[in-house]
Amino acid sequence: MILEVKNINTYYENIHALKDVSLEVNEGEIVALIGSNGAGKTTTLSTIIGIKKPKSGEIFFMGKNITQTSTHEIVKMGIGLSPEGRLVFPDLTVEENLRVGAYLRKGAEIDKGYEYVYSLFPRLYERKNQASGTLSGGEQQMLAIGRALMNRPKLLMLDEPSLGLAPNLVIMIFKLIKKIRDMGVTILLIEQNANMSLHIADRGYVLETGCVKLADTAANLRNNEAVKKAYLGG
Amino acid sequence: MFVEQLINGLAIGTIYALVAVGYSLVFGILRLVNFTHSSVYTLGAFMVYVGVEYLHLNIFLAILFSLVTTGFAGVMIDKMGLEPLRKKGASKISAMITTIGLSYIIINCLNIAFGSQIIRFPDLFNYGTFKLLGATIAWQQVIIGAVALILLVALSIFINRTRIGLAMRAVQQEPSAAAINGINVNMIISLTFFLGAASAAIAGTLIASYNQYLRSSMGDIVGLKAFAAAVLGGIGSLPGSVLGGLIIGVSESMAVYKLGGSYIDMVAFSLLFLVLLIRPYGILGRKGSTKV
Amino acid sequence: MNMKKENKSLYTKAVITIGQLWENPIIKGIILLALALFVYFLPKMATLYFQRIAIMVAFYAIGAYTAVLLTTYRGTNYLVAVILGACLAGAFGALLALSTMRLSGTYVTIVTMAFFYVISSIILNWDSVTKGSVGVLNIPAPNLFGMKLTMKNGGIFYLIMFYAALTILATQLIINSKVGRAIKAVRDDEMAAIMMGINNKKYKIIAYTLAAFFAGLAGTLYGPFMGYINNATFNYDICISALVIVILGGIGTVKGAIIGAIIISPLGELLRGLTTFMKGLPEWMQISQPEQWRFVIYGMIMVIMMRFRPQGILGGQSKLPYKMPKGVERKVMK
Repeated sequence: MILEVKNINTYYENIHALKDVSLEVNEGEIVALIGSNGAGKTTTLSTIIGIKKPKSGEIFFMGKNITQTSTHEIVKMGIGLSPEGRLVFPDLTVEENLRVGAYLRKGAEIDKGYEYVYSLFPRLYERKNQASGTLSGGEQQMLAIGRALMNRPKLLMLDEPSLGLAPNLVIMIFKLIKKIRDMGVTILLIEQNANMSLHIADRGYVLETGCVKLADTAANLRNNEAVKKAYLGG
Repeated sequence: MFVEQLINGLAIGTIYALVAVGYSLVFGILRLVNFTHSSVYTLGAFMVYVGVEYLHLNIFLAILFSLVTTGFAGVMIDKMGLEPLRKKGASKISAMITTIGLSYIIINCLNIAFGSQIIRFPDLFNYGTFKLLGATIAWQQVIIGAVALILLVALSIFINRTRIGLAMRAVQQEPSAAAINGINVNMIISLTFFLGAASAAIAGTLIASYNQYLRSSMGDIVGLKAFAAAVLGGIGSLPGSVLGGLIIGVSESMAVYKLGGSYIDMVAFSLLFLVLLIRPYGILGRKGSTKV
Repeated sequence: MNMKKENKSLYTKAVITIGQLWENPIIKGIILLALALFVYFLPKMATLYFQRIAIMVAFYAIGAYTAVLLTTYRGTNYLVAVILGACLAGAFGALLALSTMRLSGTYVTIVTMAFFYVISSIILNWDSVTKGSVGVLNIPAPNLFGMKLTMKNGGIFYLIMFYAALTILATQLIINSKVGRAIKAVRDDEMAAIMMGINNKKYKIIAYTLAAFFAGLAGTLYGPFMGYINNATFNYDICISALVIVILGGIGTVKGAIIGAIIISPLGELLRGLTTFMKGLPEWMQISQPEQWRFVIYGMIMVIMMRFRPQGILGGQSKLPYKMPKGVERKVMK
């Protein structure tokens, strides 16, 4: 087990955003986290990576308790996040963005990182000297994922990677996610597009108003009547 | 007379620029007008004075002493005053009022310790004068301008060419994205405060040596003018701050040349009024980078 | 025996101190209060709290100088001078509102700050009219319908109380009127106000004009009360004093401003009293610079209040830590 989240409770001031959320991610898996707006998906990721601290509960990454560890330490240990809304650094060039992604790496490792990311996303190589604020939505998404990969994380968390993209780009992004997994990176995926994500995922969790409602293999979830009705469009 | 005033304006202008850059750095990263900046500038000059008068250091050691202590004071301002507020998620107004309060504490502590009267300060660059285009120019002005310019260049290289500088720019643009890429955001913010404070300390020392005196109120007007310079050039933009500082410095000395000295303090602000009416985001500022 | 005598002198000292405590401060306090009250009306413009106070002080200076110069050098009737002073300040308010209309955020901050410095600079440099740093001396006591109001007959005191009551009453009336509600709407959420069909520009101008008018009115009191004004009367420190008052009491509440004024106003005299009181103590325990210590305490009040009780001591009634739009919060405070 690479990541284990045990009964975390996270609050925004008085709002109880995560209620006893527990989940597990095994090495080499793609795990999908699905749920509607405000279900607590993004909060779960923020809590795992340490931007939000839970009031109670514990988080283990590769056997180490990281509940109270600071974000940059967690990133150093090997968790990467491609955030919701991409959040590329608009005035930095594509290459500089990637360089920030490799902030904790040194020398040759950085060059290897560039190679790795550019081979995954040749489009980024074409635009490497362009300010990233001028990229299209799909390119920015690639950049956000690429930036998270620069640190060679063991666990990559993707927050709504298909949001706002054209259908053909959505398919491309999902193919890439599979490819990244096949290259040995474990993936925790948040999606509103439950259909697609349950197709590439091994297992899935359904979050509703801050609680884990269902946890099963992706195949079972796809065939679950309640899930079908709520998330897969009948 | 014209050439003298021009050189003088450029020298003072680079110092305004140096102070303005400090405002710009902190504003860029926290979207906060750092009111402690002018008092840190004063503190820097006083620390050199303490080094020379009380610790009997030679002048360069005294400047080094001031750089370290003042820079450290800048870090403390952030760590003790502002970081707890960030942790609490307090509003921006709270942070701003905290900086006003801290600045008041610093200045009045200086007042209590040294009095509010004028204190003699050594003239560090008294190397006489030289002739240029028929004008008599003091080496002092040239050196002051040059020192400030070298620092500006060094600062800009640091920000644009180093790994830490890249991290600073990243934090400036998307703090949360910087954090999830392993950047220690609080450390970067503290570093920004250190750089701002250290450069203000140098600027304060240069001005004190230029005037050959220091006093606890020396930062009031300079701080405000430097802030005006930062806004004039487009706050958050380093080249903007430099440009703003130079414009204000030169137009002030031109005003002295044409109108005499009594309205000097109004030049900066009148200029600012005019520029902002035409370009509400400053000369090099952009709408996106200056939203508050 | 000896003990008793000493106690007695201690007692007298205390009485004197308390007496001093309330002589100047009441008046200064009320003047500050008027400032603090009307700051409430100015639009909430991001970083602007302190600047609002600074421009209030500028308006205050305009009112003060207009009234004082007219009564002292032209022999104008006091009432006329007061009205002219307040109106001129109001006019400047409208002007400032017009000139900042296109700007936002930090830019309004700096323009208003600049306004403050331009006004101070004019007062200092326009020697022939304002008498610069020498100041205006021998300001005549207000003459109301043939009645001279001086410190001696307590007339000034009543006049000031009357102004204070008038100011508080006017604030309340305006707040509860249609205009007041519109001003508040523009102040709190301009976009929402516009969408409700409120003419934001018009109400911004009204808010500035009203605030400036009343600040000017408060200013007209200062001259006759002190008998003397100069450029240093209207400086940065008075801005800070007003700021501390509202922070202590609670930003955006009328009650808060009143309570803040009551607590803060005597502080200066208290420290000065303390200085006299501690003359007998060993040197290291003495407070030698009461003014400076007062400002250090002001600074501490600001820092501590912001850290632990940003809503002011009245608490819960103010909305200082108001919610910013999501994007702004993330950028600023994370």
